[in-house]
Amino acid sequence: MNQQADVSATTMLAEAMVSGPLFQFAEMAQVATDMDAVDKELTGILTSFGIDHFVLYQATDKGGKPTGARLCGKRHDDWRKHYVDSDMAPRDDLMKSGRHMPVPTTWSRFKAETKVRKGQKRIFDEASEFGLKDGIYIPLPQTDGSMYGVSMMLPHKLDNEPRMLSALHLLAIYYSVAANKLGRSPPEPPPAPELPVLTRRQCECLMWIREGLPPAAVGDKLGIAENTVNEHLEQARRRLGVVTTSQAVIEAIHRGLIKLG
Amino acid sequence: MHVHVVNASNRRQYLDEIEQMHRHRHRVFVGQMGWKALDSPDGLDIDEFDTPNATYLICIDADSIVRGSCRMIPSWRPHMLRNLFADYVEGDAPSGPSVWEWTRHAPGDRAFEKEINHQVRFLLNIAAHEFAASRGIETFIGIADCQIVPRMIDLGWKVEPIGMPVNYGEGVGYAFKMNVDTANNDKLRARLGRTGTALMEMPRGLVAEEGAMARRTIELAMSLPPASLNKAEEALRGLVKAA
Repeated sequence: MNQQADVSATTMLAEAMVSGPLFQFAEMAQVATDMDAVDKELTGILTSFGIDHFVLYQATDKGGKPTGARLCGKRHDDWRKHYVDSDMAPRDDLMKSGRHMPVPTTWSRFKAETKVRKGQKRIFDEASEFGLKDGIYIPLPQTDGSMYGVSMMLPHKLDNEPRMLSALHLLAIYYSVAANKLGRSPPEPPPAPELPVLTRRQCECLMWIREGLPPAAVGDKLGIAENTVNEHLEQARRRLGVVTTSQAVIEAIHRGLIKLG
Repeated sequence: MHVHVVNASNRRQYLDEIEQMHRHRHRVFVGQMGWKALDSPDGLDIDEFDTPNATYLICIDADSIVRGSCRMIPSWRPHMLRNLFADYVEGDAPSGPSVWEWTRHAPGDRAFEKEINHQVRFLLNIAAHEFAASRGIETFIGIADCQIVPRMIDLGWKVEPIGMPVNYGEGVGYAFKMNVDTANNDKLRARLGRTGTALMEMPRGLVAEEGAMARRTIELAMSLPPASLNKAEEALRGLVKAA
């Protein structure tokens, strides 16, 4: 009964909501110099919708890989900690939605319209245990191909009133604009380990050495002089940062540059 | 590369480029953005607002290839926001002699090189400021897809919503207005590293062939450093005298 009352209240609020405060927020977010002021303004508006928690995060990176890196917002600390500790981002299908049509989705609509997988169901169930009964996910495609998302969570079921979803969408767009402008960007991913690039010939020489052939025989196999083989091996040792040819073979296998056998 | 003002008075000088523009728009909106409603068997994007009331800003390179365009319509003439999407606006949309609608913004093409697209994106926005100055435009209005808004803001526009986001069938967008700020044009020029004007407007009355030659001559003159202009004028006067 209480839940029904909450839903009606939200709907009534959405219907009564004039666009003025939303448009003012859009204006303010574009000229803001302080993210705390933007957070405060948004908190004030969302509270009138009964929404206590909102987070802007990077849902997926440029390559479409889920990251869930939080950028800013007024988070539910306990739930956030649990979400991160349980490494939920890779299982969070909601975050991957919206790539084709980036429109706001409520958790209840997602459950009703999507075949919810086990991992996602667990996220919803556990969120509920933290008092978060419903939420909205608003996907925000970025110019670099990554996807940001704004998650808003609340302690009761939410109505799918279109005007309210539109209002929240608008707020999310400008909140993200302010965050981008004020430098709330995701952390740079750690640089990929540099693979020493061996030439095809260097790899071939190491493969024949691995087979137990001496350099002269390797030269015969490859149709090159023994000295040239030794030069390739010397280069391979240098590039792999090792001293002996045996070490070079082991290192090349270890790094996946040549096969074990 | 310049952005040419093409309208009813000089369109005869740009017949080939106008067709290229409609073809380019179809390629971008239908082929790349997937807007099925604009699909046309002739491969041209032309709608009911492509009338003599429209002024096009067309980015044309040195080989006369269209690299991008946008459409400007004065708010006192029929335009999309008033005639098709009036219900996208809360209250009344801004209108009047200083308000123009900006639509069909098609900067670049996925088939072009990145550097060209980068230039076109900036040039069209610089040209919009210059066009605004030439016509006394203070406010642009239009409908922007939600995905595009952050790009517009990144280009220095203050994009103010005048309606709520609406699913328009091909995406989600909303009605907006944005005021012209000449200071932003300086920033855009600095970001692109462009000193000269981007906009070029040919006078009416030239027939197609004369127009094409005049365009080339003017573009050449525009590319000259100011110190060489006297010399160029002297040479030109010599030619006129000889003719």
